[in-house]
Amino acid sequence: MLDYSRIISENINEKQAVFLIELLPSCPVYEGHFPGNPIAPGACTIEMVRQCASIALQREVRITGIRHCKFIQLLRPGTPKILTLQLSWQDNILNAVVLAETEIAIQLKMDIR
Amino acid sequence: MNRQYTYEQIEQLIPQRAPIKMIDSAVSVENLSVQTSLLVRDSNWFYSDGYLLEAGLVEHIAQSAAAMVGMKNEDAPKEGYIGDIKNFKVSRLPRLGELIQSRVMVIAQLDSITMVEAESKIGNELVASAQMKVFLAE
Repeated sequence: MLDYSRIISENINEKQAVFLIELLPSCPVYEGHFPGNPIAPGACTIEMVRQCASIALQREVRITGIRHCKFIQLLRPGTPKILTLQLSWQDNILNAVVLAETEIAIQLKMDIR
Repeated sequence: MNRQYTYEQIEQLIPQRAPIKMIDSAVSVENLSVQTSLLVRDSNWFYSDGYLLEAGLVEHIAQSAAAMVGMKNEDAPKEGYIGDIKNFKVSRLPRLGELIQSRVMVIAQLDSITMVEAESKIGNELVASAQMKVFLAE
């Protein structure tokens, strides 16, 4: 999972956080997803959310379940250059929204520990 | 009739390639379900510190669903994307060297959208399950 994304900025509060993120077009995953047609794998974005949640909560977050995850827009690395990841959490539930410019690209509700 | 695909032949079914090819074998069972496998190797894209990450199970299930669709098409495999995931549960992360065996069943299919239900086991132990919608590009 090296080199998939880069955090440009983070703003972490008690119950929520906002990250500005760049997906890196040079990531080797695009050699296989897909050859000649780079599309961000949804699973890699889920892992990116887990890593950002780990930063926000200051511990290694594990996903025990995904209640619902909706991929509304395909993401290509570099277009748009910057994505916004909004996280909010309560007890062991984490909500995540990935915005591409002002449009919701991914919505995710998961159980964590 | 059951059809079996080996590691090399998987590329006839799915468009994903290294480093994010997440199934090693696939067998169709009476056209209704597919059984796939994945050995957890340290070279896996989603491998981290002795384990396969949660997202690795998600991608493995999605590609198993893609393989199922691929078996029904004679053409070159189409690119597919996860549209929706529901009720994904992980009881534990697979460890290095463990063999994940997954069973994917089609619940509904409408044009380019396939809805599946999947269970991933290590031996007899259920480690993950999910419902997923995958989209195929035209």
